[in-house]
Amino acid sequence: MIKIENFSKQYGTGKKAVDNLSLVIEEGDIYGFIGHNGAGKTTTIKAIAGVLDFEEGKILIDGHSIKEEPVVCKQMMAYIPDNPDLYEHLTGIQYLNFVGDIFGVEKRARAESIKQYGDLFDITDSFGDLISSYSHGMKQKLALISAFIHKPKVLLLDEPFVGLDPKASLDLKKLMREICEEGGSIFFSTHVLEVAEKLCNKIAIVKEGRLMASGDMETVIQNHSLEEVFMEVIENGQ
Amino acid sequence: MDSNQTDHISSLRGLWLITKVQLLTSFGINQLKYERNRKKRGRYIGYLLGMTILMCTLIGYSGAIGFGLGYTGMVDVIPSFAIAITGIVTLMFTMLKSSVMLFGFRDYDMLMSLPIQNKMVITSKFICMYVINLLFTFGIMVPMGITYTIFSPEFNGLTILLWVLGMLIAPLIPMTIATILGAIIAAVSSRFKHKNLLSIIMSYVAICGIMIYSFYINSSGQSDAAFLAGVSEFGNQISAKMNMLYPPARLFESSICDNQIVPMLLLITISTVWFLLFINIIAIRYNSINTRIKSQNTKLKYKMQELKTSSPLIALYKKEAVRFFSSVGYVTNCGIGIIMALILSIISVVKGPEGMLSMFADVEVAGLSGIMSGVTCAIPFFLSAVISMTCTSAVSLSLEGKSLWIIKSLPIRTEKLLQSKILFNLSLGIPASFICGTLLLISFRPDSFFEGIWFILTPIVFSFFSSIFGMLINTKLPIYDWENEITVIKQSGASMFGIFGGMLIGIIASFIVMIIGFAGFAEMAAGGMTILMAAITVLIYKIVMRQNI
Repeated sequence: MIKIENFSKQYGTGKKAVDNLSLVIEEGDIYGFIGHNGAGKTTTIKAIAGVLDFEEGKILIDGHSIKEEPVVCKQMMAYIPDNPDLYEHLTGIQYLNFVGDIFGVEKRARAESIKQYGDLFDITDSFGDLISSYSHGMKQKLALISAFIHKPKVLLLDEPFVGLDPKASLDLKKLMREICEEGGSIFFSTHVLEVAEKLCNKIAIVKEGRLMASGDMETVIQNHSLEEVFMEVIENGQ
Repeated sequence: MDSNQTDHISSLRGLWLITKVQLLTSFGINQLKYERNRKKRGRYIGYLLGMTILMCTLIGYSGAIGFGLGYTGMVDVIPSFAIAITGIVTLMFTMLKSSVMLFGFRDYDMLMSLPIQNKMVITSKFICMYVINLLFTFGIMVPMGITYTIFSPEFNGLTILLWVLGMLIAPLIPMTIATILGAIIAAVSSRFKHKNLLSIIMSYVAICGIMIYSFYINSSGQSDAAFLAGVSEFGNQISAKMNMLYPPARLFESSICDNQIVPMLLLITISTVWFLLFINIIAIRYNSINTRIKSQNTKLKYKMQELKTSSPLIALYKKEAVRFFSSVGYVTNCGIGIIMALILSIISVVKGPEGMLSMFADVEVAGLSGIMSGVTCAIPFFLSAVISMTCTSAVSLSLEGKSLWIIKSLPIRTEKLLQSKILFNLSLGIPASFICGTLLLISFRPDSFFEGIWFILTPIVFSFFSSIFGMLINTKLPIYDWENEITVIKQSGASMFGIFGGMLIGIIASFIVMIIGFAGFAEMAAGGMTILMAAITVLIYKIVMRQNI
C-alpha cells in the first residue's frame, strides 16, 4: 500500500534528516516507526502525507506517486500530525463538515460517522463550540474523527496517543486494529514502546535519519523486548 | 539596597527582556539574522522592501507638502502640520493594531505567567507599537523638518534639538488615546456573547469617527476667502485648523517657531504624565479584560443537526469567510478599503461631488467646473484605488499558519485553494464596487452612458486585479511561523504590497485618466485603462494558477 524507495530529505545545506530510507507497508499492516527525537520520523511521515516536498527517492501510495499524483494519493489517506493545530475559528462540527466536503463524503454517511466517532470519543456534546476552546486532547480527538469519517485506506499518525485520555487511547487502538482488519494500512510514530510492541505487526527503527532495523515484530525483537532492542540499536547501532 | 529597590530593578530588567523578545519577533530581526532557508530570508527581505517603498512614499509625500508650504511663504505652518498629520496617522494605525497587540495576543499566557508586573507587560507591548509608530513619525517629520530648515530664516541648532524632541514625543498621546479607545471597545465587547462582531462594529465606528472628524475639520472654514485675503491669513487659518485637529500641535508650533524650550518641556511633561496615567489605569483591568477576551462561550450540549454539504470550492470559501469575520484585527485592517469607499460614496451623494472633493484639498471648487469631465472620468479609478485596499488574498494564505498541514494533506489542488481565497476577496470587492459605483454615479451624473458604465466596471475589474495580485504576492511572500496574526495582517511584505500595491496603481491610473481627460479624451482613457487592467489581471491569474504552496 505504501512503498518508500530510497527516500532522503535534507533541510538547507545541513545534514540529511532522512537518509536513503526504503520501506514497504502492506495492506493490513500496523507499522510502528520508532526512533529518538530528531531521528527523521516526522519528516518521513510528512513526506508520505504530501505535506513535505522532497527531491530524492520515491513514495508510492497504492501504486500512485505522491509527487506526481498528490490528489489521488491524498484521497486515500488521512494524516494527523503530532500537534494538531486545527482551524481555531471553526466549531468542531464545522471542521468535520469541512473535511467531509473536501473528501466528498455522502451526507448521511457523514452524519452517521460523525455521531459514531463523536460518541465513541465522548466529544459530541462539544461539537458546537469553537475549536479554540478545546483542550489538547479534545483537538486530538477531533483530528482523529476527521481522519476516520472519510474511511481512509492509509492512516498516517505522528504520535497519536499524546494527550489522549486512557479510554480514548484504548478506543483508538481498537479502531486501528479494525481498520487493518478491513484491509487498511497504518503507519505511525510513537515513543511509547510498550504500545508499539503490543499493537504493531511490523516495526521500523530509525537513528539519525537512517533505517537501522525493520520488518515483522517477531523477527526484529526475537526473544527480547522492543525496549531492549531499541536501546541496543540506538546505543550500539546494531 | 532595600527590597523595593531590588523589585524595581528586576522589573526594569524584566521589561527590557520581554521588550527585546517582542521587538525581535515583530520586526523579524531574528529571521534575518539566523534563518538559513533562502526562501524564508527572501520573504523577510520582501517585507523590508515593502516597508522601504511605503516609507519612501511617505517621505516623498511629506517632503512635498513641506516644500509646498515653505515655497508659498507658509513656513510657520509646517510644524503644526507635521505633528498633526503624525497624530492622525498614529491614531488610525494604533486604533487598528491595539486590539490585537495589546489585548488577547497569543503569547498572553506565557507573558502573564512570568514574574513581571502587568504594567511591564503593557509597557513592553506599548514600546513595540511605539517603535513602529516612530518609523512613520520619522517618515513624516524628518522631511518636513528639513523643508522647515530650508525655508525658515530663524532656524538654528536649538530648533533641530526641539524638532528631534518633538518627533520622539509625537506618537505618545495619539497612541494612548487610540489604545484607550481600543481598551474600551475590548472591555465592552468582551461582556457580550458575540464579542468579535461587536468589537468589529465598534472599531469601525471609532475609525470612521476619526476619519469624518479630520475631514470635517479640514473642510470647515472659509479657505478660499482666506486665500484671497492673503497668504499670511491663509497660513494662519491652516495653522488654526491643525491646532484644532490636534491640540498638542499648538505647543510644538510655538516651541519651534519661537525657538522656546518651555512649550516643548510642557509637551514632554503632558505626554509623559498622560502615558504613565494610561499605563496605571489600563493595568488595573488588564487581567480581567484579557481573560474575558480569551475565554470562550461554550454551548451546553450540542445536538446533531442535519448537515449541509458543499462542493470543495464552496467549503474552502466558507472556511475563508469564517476566518475573516472571526478576527477583529483581520476585518478592521483588511476590510477598511470597502468601508472607506462606502463612507466616501455616501458623503458624495449627501454633499455632492464638489463637497466631497473639497474635503481632500482646500481648492476653489467652483474652479473645477471647467475640468469636471476629466475629474469625473478619474473617479472610478479613485474608487478602485480605495476598494483595492481590501485585499484579504494578500494575507489569507499566510494566515493558514500552523494549520497549513490541513490544506497540504487534503486532496485538493493548489489552484482550488487559491481560487477560494480569490473568490472570498471578490465577494467583498464586487458588491462594494456595485454599491459605491452606483452612489457615485448618482452623485457625479456623468454626461454619457459610456462614461457612466466605467463607474461600475472599473472598480469590479480592479477588485479582480487586487484579489488576484494579492494572491500572487502571498504565494511569493508567505509567512506561516507567526505568533500574532497582526504580524501577517499588518506587518508582512505581502500585506504591504497587496494593500498599497492595488491602491497605488489605482491612484496612478486615476491621474493618467485625468490628464488624458483634460485633453478631451476622458471616455477613451477610462475605457482603455480599464481594458488594460483587465488584460493584466488575466495574465496574473494565469501565473497565480501555476503557483505551488
